[in-house]
Amino acid sequence: MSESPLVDGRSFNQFVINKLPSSVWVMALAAAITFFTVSAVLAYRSIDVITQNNIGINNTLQTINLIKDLNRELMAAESSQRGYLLTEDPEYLHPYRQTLAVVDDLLDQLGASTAQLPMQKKRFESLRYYVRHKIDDMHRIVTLTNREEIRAAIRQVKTDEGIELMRAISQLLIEMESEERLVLEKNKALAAENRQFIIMALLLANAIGLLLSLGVFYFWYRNATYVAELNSALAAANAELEEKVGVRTQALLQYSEELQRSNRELEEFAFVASHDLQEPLRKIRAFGDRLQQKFSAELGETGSDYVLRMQAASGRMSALIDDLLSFSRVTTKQRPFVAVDLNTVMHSVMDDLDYAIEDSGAQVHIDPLPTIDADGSQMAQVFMNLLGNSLKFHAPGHRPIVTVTSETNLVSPLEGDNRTWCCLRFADQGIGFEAQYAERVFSLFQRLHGREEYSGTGIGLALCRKIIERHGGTITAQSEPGEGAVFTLLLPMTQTSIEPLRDLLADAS
Amino acid sequence: MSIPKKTLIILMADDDADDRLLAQEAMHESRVLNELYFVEDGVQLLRYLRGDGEFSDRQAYPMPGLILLDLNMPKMDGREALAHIKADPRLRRIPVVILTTSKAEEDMVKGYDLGAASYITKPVTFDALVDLMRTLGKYWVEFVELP
Repeated sequence: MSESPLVDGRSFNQFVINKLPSSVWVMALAAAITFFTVSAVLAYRSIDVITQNNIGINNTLQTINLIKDLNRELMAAESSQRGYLLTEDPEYLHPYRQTLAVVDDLLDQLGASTAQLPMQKKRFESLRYYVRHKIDDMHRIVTLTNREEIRAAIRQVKTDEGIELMRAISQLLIEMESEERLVLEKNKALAAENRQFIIMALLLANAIGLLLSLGVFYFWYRNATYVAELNSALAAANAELEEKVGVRTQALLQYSEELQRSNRELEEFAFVASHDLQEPLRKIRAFGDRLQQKFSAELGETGSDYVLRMQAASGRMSALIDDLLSFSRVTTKQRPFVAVDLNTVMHSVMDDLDYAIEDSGAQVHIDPLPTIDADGSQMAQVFMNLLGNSLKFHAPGHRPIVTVTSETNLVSPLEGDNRTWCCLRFADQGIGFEAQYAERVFSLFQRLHGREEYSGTGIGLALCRKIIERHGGTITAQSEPGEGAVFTLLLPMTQTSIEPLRDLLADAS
Repeated sequence: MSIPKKTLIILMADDDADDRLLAQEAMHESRVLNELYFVEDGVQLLRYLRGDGEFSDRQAYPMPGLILLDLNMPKMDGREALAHIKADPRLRRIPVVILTTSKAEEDMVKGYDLGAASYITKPVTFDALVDLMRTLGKYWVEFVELP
């Protein structure tokens, strides 16, 4: 017995995948959505951080530029002022005037950009103080120069106030610049760190995302493959089943053909046998008659008696042969089941028995009978036998009374059979028989009476039983001596037939 | 009292000697004045009817006014012989009554198809056979006009 292909070599894993309830899939989807949301937020935040970093760095660079600008402006102013002092040429004052124009603005800007760092702020305060003073110093010198008070101007220069201020300013600027550079470096390092971190984070996030997708795809694929495998296994099983069914149908058809052939041969044999057996019997009887008629004197009483007995024996043999032929024909001449209205069958049987019914003055009451799947001519034989018996075995001196009742839509007496059944009862008020013979009456050629009492070969009831059993039903008898007899027929109302067989049989008959 | 017409010549074809004997006896018993002649198979039947060979002597073997035909005979069976008779313009007017043991419906149908006048199953008892002979005799002689 081969293993079902569905179970063969399947690991527990794959069963689990197949059996994953839909809630798991929903959870997986929720996880994926959550993950991607978090990922997006993370990305946004990363960009934000980078932007902040960049702003910071820009700020620092700007501050450094401001510092340099301030330095340059002041240097330019100083050298311009000195040049003017030396040459008294107002042309030399251009840079100085330019510086004055921009210095306040520069200071403000520088002040704003250093406001965050406390050290820088302090330095800036000092710076501003010194720058103010320096400008004042320069302004004094320029004014003096303007008034051509050169000596006073030179004296002012010689105080080195200017230079000291400048030195202080320079110092501050250098400090400020280096501080800003430190900050710059720090920011750059931070930026590099951030960038590293962000790249890692993004890579990791995408890797996780990719893995998730791959994972989902993988499970989906395995599921799909499994399903595909199941489908192909199913298709294979179906194909196999169809093939088997085909083979069985073939075998069945073949068997049915053989059966039909066998029946035909049997029928031929039975017919020929009965025919060929009857022929010599006829001669025996005929010549027996002649013997009696022409030679009664020579035979004498005893001789005639012998001849009579011989005749009777031949007659019985002839009847027996006919009955055997009928009996075999239940099988060989069977017709497929069709819907038969039993009332029609009963009417035709009553017609046939018309003479006998009239003769005996019998009363026959028939209930309405159902329509069932049956072989009509065989049912006619059954009815004929049962009614004929009732007419034959009537109580002497009494008219036969026969009643046929019917019940339909009965539950099947067989297990596992869904068909409805019907029950026909043939009851008479005749001589009846002992209960112990209730089964024996159905035996072939069994008689309960001597030849002299009642005619008949004893085949009638055996024939009935054979026919009823062919229809899948049962026939039983109940009786008591002097109380008549009841014959109960239980029959299924429908017969299953196999289509191809039915057509085959229909073609053959 | 009816005046009997001239005797009817009946020719019976049957391969069974017993049946021929019984027919003879039955005819005798029936007191019908008919003459009964016999042949044993289809071949002989046709030769008789055509007057071939020994049958050319019409004194000994007169043409029948009625043929009783058994179906199952050797050499040529009744069905074939019947076909020949009905095909022959000289013979086909002779009424043919099939008298056979066969009860088969197809034989009966075929018989009538081939042109038999009647199909009769051989009676089982001798008395019935006598009855038949009497009836045949009366019917075919007293009632039926034959050409």
